[in-house]
Amino acid sequence: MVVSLSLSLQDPVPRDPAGKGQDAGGKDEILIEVKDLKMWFPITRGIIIQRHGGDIKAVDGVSLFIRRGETLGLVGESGCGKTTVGRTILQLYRPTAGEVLFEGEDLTKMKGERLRHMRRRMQMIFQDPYASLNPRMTVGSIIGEPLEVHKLGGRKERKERVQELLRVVKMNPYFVNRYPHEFSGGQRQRIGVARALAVNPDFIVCDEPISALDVSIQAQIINLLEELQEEFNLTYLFIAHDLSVVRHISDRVAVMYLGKILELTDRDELYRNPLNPYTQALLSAVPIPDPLVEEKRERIILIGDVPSPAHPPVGCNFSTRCPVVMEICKEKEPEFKDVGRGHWVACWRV
Amino acid sequence: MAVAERAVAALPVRRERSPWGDAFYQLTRNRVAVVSGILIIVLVLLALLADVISPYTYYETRVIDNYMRPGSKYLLGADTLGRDILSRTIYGIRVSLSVAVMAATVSLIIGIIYGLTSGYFGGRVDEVMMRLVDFLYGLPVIIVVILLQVYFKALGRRAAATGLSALLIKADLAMGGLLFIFIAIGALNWIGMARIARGQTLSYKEKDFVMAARAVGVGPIGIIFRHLLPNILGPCVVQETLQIPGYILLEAFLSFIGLGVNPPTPSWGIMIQEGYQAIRSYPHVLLGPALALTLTVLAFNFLGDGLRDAFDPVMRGT
Repeated sequence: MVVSLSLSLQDPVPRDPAGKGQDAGGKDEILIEVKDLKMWFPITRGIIIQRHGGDIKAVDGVSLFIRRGETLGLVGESGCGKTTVGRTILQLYRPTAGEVLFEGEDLTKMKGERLRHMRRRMQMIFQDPYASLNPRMTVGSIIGEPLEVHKLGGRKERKERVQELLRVVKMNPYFVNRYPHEFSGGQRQRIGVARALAVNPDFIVCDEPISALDVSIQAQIINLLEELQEEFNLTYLFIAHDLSVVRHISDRVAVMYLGKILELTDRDELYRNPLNPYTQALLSAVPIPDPLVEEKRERIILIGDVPSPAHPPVGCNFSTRCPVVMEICKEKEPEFKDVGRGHWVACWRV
Repeated sequence: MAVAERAVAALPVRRERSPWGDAFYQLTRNRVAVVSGILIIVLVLLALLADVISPYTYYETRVIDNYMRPGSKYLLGADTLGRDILSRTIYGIRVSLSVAVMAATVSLIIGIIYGLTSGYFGGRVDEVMMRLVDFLYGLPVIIVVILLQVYFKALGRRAAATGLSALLIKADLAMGGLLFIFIAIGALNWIGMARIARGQTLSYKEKDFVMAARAVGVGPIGIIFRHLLPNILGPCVVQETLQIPGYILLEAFLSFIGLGVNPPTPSWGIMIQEGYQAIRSYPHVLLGPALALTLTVLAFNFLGDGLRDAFDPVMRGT
């Protein structure tokens, strides 16, 4: 990929008020820090006069940080709150409690124009490329909308920029006047990527960007995301349920279960030395592309269903299904702590 | 990559068909809808050119010609006062079409504003707004419209009106009694549209592209006008077109029972009412207006069906 995206549009506000250059900080600078994030959706009953009848604890005390330029993989089964974490970080949902620090500034306390301004620096790529593009807008106006909203450049500059973005995602710039229904899933996903890139963000939440795509197309999108990361020094929160993909793209991986993170560590460490029984069960379910090894693979089969996030169990969230559960697991919640070399885990066994 | 890109770049730049253009194209392939559309265009032209085309005025009476059968003097015959039925039928298009257009427009505008607001803001706002709609939905439309018309007619007879009501009465008289019909029909017919608009809004506002717009920083106004309205407009317009025959029939019904336009304004409803009194001896009096009413209602029905099929292929044939 040789096309270079010059950051040609004038930026009225300096990008690094603190003077932390993108390269100066290197890989160690923390871009996003999430502290004890909670997103509870209220359950209401009654007509007009609404009574509060409990909460769905979609995200219940998540803490993590993401370094600049790195990819944090977030895995977990359906309904565990992965997507909600992503949307809450971007303030698409306003969290019930907790902090989201973007370069040290708390996004949860921002409102109105200030938050809108911050939106330029963080974007999102969606799971379903058929639902994430407005069917009544042309590709040009879809990709150009962020530029228009933030008043970047004039009409002509915007048009050029849109064509440039199409080229960056390896699509024909002549497609600007077409409508989303004229494209395949993979092409639509590229349009979604181009839209996210339009405002030159630092941070992108990739919400299962490939799970709705054909296997052959998945690899293309993954490679595109990796190339773009390299080129524009992007930071990703990569949400997925496919462990092999996460292993491929992530620097570090967080495992979520029922609104909480059970384990978070470097990719290789996680796959080599999983400490939480849930992580072990998840990894044991990944097929190994070698028939001899695959035959010997022993699956840890979890019994039962995920409890309802409206009534999470007392103690450890995983205690109802854990194969090595102890008495204390059902009484007290294990602390999410660093057990050495950045390997964070929440489990009484450790 | 260079080769591939050059190959793609070499594709001819073609003019793209928008979703609206696509729907129109689908519509032109539906023969019944096209014929209905042409009939409606002819009706509109007749209504506009009524003064030029019709052989007589709609109010000229020649008592010696009363109930004259169709012939060279009167193509469709004459009515009880010796007025030309063909001319009155042509002028009657104006009444029916203006009711159709006004009632549909008013209902569409109020319904979309109401439904979109209710659906977009949701929560308690939605609850309150929809309970009002539920309440109005429970009222029998025809009875409410009749009561309103009775009230308006009584209002018109009272001379002591002042201010706004005097102004309305004057405007209504100038329009031959049409204004109050618009108000009476429009008063209740937006509620169905409000429900449809709300339902559509609810389904579209949860779509990822709305989430994407919010992530980019688009405000509520931009989301409503750029992302929601264009998407809900199609289904709403289609639904409204399907309501038009109902409005035309309702006006004809009101005029038929004497609560519609003021004579001598020619409404097909009044003409049918006059014709039906003499149906045994002079059936021709009924023929013109009845045929016109039937054809118009059918044309709007078929056009509405065609539009629905064009906009929503899933609904085709249902």
